[in-house]
Amino acid sequence: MTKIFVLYAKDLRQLFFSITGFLSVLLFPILLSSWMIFIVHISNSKQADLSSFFAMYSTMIILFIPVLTLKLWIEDNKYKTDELIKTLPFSEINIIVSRFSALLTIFSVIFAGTLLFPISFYSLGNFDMGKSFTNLFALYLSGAASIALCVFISTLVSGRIISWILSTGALLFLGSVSISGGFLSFLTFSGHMESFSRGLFSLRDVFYFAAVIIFSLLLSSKIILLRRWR
Amino acid sequence: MTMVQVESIWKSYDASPVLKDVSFSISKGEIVGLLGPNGAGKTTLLKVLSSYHMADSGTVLLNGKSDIKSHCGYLSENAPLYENMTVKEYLLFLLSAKGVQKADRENEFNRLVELFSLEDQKNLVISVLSSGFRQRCAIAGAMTGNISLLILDEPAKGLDPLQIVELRNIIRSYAGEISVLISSHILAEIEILCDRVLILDEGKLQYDSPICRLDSDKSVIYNVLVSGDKKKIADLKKIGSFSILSDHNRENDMIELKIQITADEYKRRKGALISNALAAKSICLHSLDLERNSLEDIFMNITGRKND
Repeated sequence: MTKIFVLYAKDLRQLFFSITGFLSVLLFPILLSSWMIFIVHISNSKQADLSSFFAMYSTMIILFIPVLTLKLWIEDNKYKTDELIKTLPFSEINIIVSRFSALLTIFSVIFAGTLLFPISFYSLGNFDMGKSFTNLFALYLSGAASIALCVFISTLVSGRIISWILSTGALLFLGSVSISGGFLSFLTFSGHMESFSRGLFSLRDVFYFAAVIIFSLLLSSKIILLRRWR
Repeated sequence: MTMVQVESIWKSYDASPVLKDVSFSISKGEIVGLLGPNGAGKTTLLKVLSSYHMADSGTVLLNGKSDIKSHCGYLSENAPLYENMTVKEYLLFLLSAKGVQKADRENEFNRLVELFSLEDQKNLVISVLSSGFRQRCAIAGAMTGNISLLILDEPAKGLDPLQIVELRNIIRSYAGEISVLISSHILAEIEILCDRVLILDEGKLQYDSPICRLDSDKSVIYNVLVSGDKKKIADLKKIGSFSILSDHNRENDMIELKIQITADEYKRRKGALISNALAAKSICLHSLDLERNSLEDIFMNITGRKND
């Protein structure tokens, strides 16, 4: 655990003190609030729920997570620090878990910052608290799963632009493509966010996201291990 | 005492072999130089030794154990550094990563900073350092923790002559406790610093010899100054046990000869073979000096052979 923490602290520092990390923390809420202002004041949609907020949130995850994840890999590639990390007494799983945790921490900070919007709306009317909570929980889970998936793609593909295209494409497919029923629906994030969007807390869907995270991280560590034989 | 044992390492990239059956050992306190032309497999060998890459087959043992990472300091050719960290943050990160106890980290950090003359730079961000200080910082990083083996790939890169001398002294002062393996293109540096040299060519270990024995491992050349009957001197070429590489007429009827004898003859009789042959022909011998076979000669001899 100490080793993971040492790496986690380093990765977190690298993210927080980078332009990408700083802009992500700053831009995510700004874009989200701009969208909410547009919905409430300009489009005059007259919707008394947060569905547009949650929909925008999913889109923001697709836009921001691949860029944020790639940041660490791009830096490692540029300064060859991957060579340093891989020759220090860290296991492959240490490297991946610490990286995932650092990214999740940044996402959690962004997430906490954006919680101000739904909270501020509660003073305006009688919102369905339970439904909002399950929706937010689903967004957090899908964000965490998106990070894990992007970590996996980044370890799999060495070309950064290809990696970004693949990550964004995968998140676009899993997060925004709405397929009702069938195997594809089982595969996609959106398919597993449906019950949450209806205010239900589905343990089956929680397990799905947990499985995506664990599976992606394990595969990533195996890829790093295999690369040592390349 | 053997510190590092490398047994029959094979490594291929995309089915083309880069290391072919490489075996050697390094004793405790030994400084070993690794030489070879570009593409010989030096960096790959260092990557395998540092656990960055795994060998296709063969074993690498450090203190009899296959866990290399915990007790190995590795400086790769690119000297990787975290640009947005200060020197202090970087070294403290490496000390934590290598499991140095929190109470000892500060002392260890101060020792490294003093050793590498980084006192004025310790609070500076690495990205603003000059290439010499960056290299020092990277070498200091490789020396953190309780290491038994230090692997340095082109450590003198970016250092000025004064810094190279300082680095040489630091490595020497460390070498009593640990083993050091250095890869460099600067042959003179290897010759001065190392106890032993390994020459790798086309993935094979072609040469493994202590520096002090380099002279006697191949053929040996003597510079001989003689005078006497020119016909008799010319007849020396007919003697089979040595060969005259060149002859030079000098002032006062002196002739300078460059005579090569085999390593075996040298080991048995040193220069006596030549002096006896000259005496037998009544040629007056004025001087007999051993021409040291430099590391460069040996390197060229081994790696340049295929280009001839």
